[in-house]
Amino acid sequence: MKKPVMVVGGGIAGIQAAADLADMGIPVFLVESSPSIGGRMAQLDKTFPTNDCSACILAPKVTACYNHPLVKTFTLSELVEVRGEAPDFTAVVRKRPRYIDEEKCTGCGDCTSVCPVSVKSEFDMEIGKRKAVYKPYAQAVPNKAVIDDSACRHCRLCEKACRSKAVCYDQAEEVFEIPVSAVVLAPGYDLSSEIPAEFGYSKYADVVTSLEYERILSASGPFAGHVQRPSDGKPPKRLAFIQCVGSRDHQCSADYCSAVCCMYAVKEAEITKEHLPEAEKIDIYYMDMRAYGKDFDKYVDSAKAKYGINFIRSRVAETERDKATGNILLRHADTGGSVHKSEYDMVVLSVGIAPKEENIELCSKLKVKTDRHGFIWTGEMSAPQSSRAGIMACGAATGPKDIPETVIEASAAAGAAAKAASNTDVDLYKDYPAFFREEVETLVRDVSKEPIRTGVFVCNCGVNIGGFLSVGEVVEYAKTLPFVTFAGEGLYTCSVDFQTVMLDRIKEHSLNRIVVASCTPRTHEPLFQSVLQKAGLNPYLLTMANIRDQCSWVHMEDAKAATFKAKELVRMAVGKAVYAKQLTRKRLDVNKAALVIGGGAAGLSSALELSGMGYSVHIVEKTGGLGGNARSLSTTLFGRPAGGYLAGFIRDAEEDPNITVHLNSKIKDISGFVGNFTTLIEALGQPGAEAEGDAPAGSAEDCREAESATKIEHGVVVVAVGASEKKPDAYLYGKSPNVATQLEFEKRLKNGEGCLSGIKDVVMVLCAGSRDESNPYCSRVCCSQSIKNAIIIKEYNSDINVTVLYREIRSYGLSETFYRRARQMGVQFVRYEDDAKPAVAQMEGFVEVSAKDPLLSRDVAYRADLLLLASAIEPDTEENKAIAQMLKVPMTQEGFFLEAHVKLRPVDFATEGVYLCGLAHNPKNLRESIVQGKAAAARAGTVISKEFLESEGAIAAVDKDLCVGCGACEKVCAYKAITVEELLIRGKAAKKAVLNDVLCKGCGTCAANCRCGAIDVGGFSDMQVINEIEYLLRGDVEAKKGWEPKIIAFLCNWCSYAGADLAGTGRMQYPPNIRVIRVPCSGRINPAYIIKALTEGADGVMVSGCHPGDCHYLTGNMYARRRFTVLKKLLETAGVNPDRVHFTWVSASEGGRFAEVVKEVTEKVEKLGQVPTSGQPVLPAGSCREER
Amino acid sequence: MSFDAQRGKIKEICKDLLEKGTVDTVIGYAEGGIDGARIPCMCGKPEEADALCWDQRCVANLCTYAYDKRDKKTGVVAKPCDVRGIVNYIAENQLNRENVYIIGVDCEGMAGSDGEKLPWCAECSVKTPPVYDVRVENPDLPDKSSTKIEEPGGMTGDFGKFQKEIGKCILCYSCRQACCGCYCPVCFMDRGVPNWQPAEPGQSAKMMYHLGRAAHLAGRCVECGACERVCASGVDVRYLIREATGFVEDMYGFRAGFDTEADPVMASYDANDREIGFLGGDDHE
Repeated sequence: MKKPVMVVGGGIAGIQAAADLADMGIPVFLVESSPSIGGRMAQLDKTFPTNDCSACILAPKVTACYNHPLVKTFTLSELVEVRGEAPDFTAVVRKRPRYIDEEKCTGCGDCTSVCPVSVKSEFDMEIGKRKAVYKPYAQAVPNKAVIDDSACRHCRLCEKACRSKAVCYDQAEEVFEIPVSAVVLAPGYDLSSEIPAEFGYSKYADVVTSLEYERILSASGPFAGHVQRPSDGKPPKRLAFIQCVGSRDHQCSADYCSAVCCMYAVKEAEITKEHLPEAEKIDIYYMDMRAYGKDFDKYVDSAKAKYGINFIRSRVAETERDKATGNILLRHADTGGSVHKSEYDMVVLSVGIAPKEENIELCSKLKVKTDRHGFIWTGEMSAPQSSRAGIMACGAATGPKDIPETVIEASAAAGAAAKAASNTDVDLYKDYPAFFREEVETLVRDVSKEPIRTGVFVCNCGVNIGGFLSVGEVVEYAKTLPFVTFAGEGLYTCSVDFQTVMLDRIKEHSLNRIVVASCTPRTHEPLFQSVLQKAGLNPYLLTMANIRDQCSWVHMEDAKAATFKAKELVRMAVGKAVYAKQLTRKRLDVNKAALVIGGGAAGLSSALELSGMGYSVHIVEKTGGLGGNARSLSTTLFGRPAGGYLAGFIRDAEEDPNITVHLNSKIKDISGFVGNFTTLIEALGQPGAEAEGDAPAGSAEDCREAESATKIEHGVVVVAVGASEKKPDAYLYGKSPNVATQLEFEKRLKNGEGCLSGIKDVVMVLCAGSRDESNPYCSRVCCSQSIKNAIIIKEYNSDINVTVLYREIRSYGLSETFYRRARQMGVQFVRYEDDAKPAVAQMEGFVEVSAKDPLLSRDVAYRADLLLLASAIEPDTEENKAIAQMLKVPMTQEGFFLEAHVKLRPVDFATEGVYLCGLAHNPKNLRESIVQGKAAAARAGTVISKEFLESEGAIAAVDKDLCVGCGACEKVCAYKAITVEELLIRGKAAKKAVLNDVLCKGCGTCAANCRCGAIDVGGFSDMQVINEIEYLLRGDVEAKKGWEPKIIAFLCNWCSYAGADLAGTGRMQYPPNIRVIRVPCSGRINPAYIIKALTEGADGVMVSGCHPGDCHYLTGNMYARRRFTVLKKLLETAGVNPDRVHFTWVSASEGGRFAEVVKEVTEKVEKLGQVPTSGQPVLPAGSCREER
Repeated sequence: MSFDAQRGKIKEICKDLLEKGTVDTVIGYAEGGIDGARIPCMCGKPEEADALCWDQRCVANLCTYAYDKRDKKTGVVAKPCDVRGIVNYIAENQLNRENVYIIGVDCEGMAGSDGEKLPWCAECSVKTPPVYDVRVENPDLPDKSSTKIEEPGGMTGDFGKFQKEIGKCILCYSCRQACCGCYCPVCFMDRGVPNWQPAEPGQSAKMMYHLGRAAHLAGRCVECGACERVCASGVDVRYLIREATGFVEDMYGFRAGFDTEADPVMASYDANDREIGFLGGDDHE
């Protein structure tokens, strides 16, 4: 195995890097300074521009990373020193004591509930409180308590409360010296602490920072999602956001732009409006609205149009509190210079991103350079490489950036680290025995022919379950259930001791179905599955009943009802277990070559990275030379000559024996799927016809090679087809010799044609082709590029007048400093309004540009010897469409490619094995293209590094005899995992659905859409769900006084089930009538389940999934929404009272909402009384149907 | 009445198709059914086409016969609802467009043995075939510009009435057998595992059947009335599906059987789909 890599920082950047490395088969040490990984993103309520629930999309990623067998996480730890040279580093890690034995702690929270000390919660930005022994937040990973030494009074109450004896006050600091091959720094950022005093932040309680406000908005935050102002708890009616607090302000040492505040302010404003529809006004005070990312402008537009948010271009002078009303008065000047005073109930400061003090310290210890702001320096063309070889840096620690760019940079860093580790070899389990243990493979016993013998293990979870319901009664009841051979209880079933007990019982009774009634399967299923594996049972023979998070914790006042519910939950689980199947992961070979479509900067860096990791790469480039748009650039954004870097890349690619370059070629056809693609490369008719004059030498030879159609086989595809600068159709372009685009100008500069001689006046027009009707998106790079060129002109001759006509200057991030520099150098920036584009007229030898100056509010004419147009970046829609169809990947309306998830999967497609980078994704600068190219390589590396691909265990399966090949499944599959193909069935051709096991994620949307019942899903099969329903509704053996409603709730695993768990963690009490059936996705829920439940006598049915847009399986809930809408109508038509059946969405952070919904549903069902169709015969124990 | 004129045209077309060998078989109607209802007639030779008839008793939906002959080149004398059935088959991969030759016949509605227009024909708004290879026009067709389904009367939203209506059902599954949308190899009601129906064939089983079938047919029903026509117990079989069909058109602007290329409405979505009847949905007060 490769030598491990150390990743410092457990935020989204560190998690992404660690997970990518581990997926490439490289062991990782993840070092996090706080008690939990998750970072800043865990604190966010929603994410822009999709308003996805942050917790919902982050949590699965965090858990997967933490549970990865090749990731060893150190929490409360710091990297102290790195000795030696890559790949022979020795990293020194210091681990602070947790005062809790991580092995023993079950995360039950008994300690927290007895702790008498209350302090401000860091996670809630000190608005909420926490105890001295605490979990940072409900979904903290690891799910372990920690003692805050500075707050703890050593009263030892927690020690007494903890039944698993996990509290240990005498834990001491530990220091580890670990040999590693590379280090990835992802230590994150701080909020700027330099908030100008005139905003009254620390003076007035109702002036809060954006991150504080994020917690106020959050459903899991200190106010449980009820937006209220801190001073008096009233919901604010008027709200102001002040932008650029601690950013773009050289007086407070942050002269850069923080790159994310504009968009998060828009997001917070939108969410506020969603929470408080009655809010009177929400105003955002800004300088430039920097909506430079993919679909950001659309987001701002919807904030204006749909949410009625006001955007006020103005710098705020100060805030002041009205003593009488307690409201905040805001003094600000408008664009014309007149001063206004406005009154608000609450003010949110959009505070910028600042480098962490600790990072600067760490870097000086590691001998890694930081820039003048304190961000970790990475080379513009070599990012994410830091100044020290073998140490990479990524995320907001290297400069302000949003989540997708952080994720991209993290993947790129993982790729670079993988490259560093590529020639190492260690015996992980021998060399690192303290951290990694080899899983001993036990022989798996085939139980398919055995009679069913179910073992039920009921957990007390200390007092968390046992204290609120009678575990003994549940055990005794379980013994009476069909097929149950053994039932027993444990204090903590998850403890190491009890695992041994389970192993013994399994052997003793040769159990072949295991039911564990304890906490939530979302955290503990993997643990109990591993117990089954140790016992020689297939792990999927485990079924869990959640009697803690969804029973004892939420019915704490009614032990009788909780016990009754727990019995029923166990009965359902026993029923489900009857149909538990032994599922196995299917394996598939992987071809270790890669195809990169496009030989521009992104494609080149991707190919070089893949080659560096040791894979062979084919680059297919349609022109006669490599380099793409970058060939025309004179300098990089930071002013370095671009040519040298690019020539280096091209030379490296051409000389690389792993890389085959196909010039003047295009893709004719791609077939196959992840790991097994076959591609036909076609030589274009006229070799060199499109080649530029400065095409590198050697291309002629490559042309000849590519003259015939070539067939190649490969395992992954990187789409790096690029885009080009649009030829403007206005501003006299092409008609006047004085007009050129910025890129054309750069080319002239690069070729040194003396293009500035004799020129006195230069005018630049920004947005010349972007953000208009034909190209509604922002082209992102043009502002910075124009500023760069303006500086070059001024440096060449400071007497040349340079005027930049702009709508908004979007020099985001560190580029902002160049904007200031340009102004200092005398470049004139004049804004023009969106609806008043500059006019141009050809004069004798020059062009006259006139524009309305908003400050003077009259037209001003400018003379231009040279008029430079910042034109749009435009995709080749037709060509992209052809590639999209071959690869079965989606595109945006604008003609760019659409990634799998705009936030967390920015270089992936939903179709596995296909990756995206560069301008094909969205406009971006050279540095960003290169980094994304590397990220795509790293993501591709996670596939081709494997010896074979493995499917998920719980996936769909098609019964060919039942299938009619109607194709509904194919249409709803987001992963293109199921297709209708013509097969030969008993000598006859027939169309049948065929599943690709490796591509299937097991969401089950296809199965629910299959009328013929030809598709079923492992682990959540029709029979398992039906048995849960039948066992619940037919098996009611306890004579109960009076009727109480029984409501079946189908909850999706990722959002609503997690939301229900969170209600438990928050001890939110709700009626005990709900019986939850867990399904992978709301898309899995067959309408027949709901009808079945009703006809079997359920008094009510509730269905909940992820909010539309948040689906873990991309679109499963979208189909579910249609299905449920129609079903609801059908049920109503049949006269089933609409109050019996409820559909809704609950996110993973909406514990409170879940409790509310259950209350509402129960009340409604209760009012209706018993369902009139019930009256099925009660099933005596042991008479349930046996497995086929 | 221009049945006579249309009949001549139909015979002429069918003869011609068989003579030229464009198709192997033509499916049309012939005399000889109970109560004067016309029976399906398969013609393999030109002269057999003489037996074809066309009048107000051609009640059967012939698309299911075309489905049975899907491997051969078949011509079908098709009323608009028959055509919609064929279109549905094509959209769902069950028929090759090349294998079926649609003789689309304008239809003003069929009648029962009493001469009264059949209820579904009286409600019908699709009088001309939406897709055809050759069309047999009826110039006297009363103009019916509205394609909107008329408001069905009766039992909407009344649980008691629904129970009473399905109380008549004997679960003989005739409606399923006659339906051109029900072509699953094994119906969910016939499966032993998974056992969708309850243990005994009572009201619950009937509820499961009628609701389950309606859920399967939502957005797929071509409104031919075959289900109700064949019901021996006089159940108002159509009412659930009729409601669903109108609802799907209102919500998603989709009606089955008009476009062979259309994505099935229940296997599609729009990001802005309305949420009617959801907690916190569009109509939530």
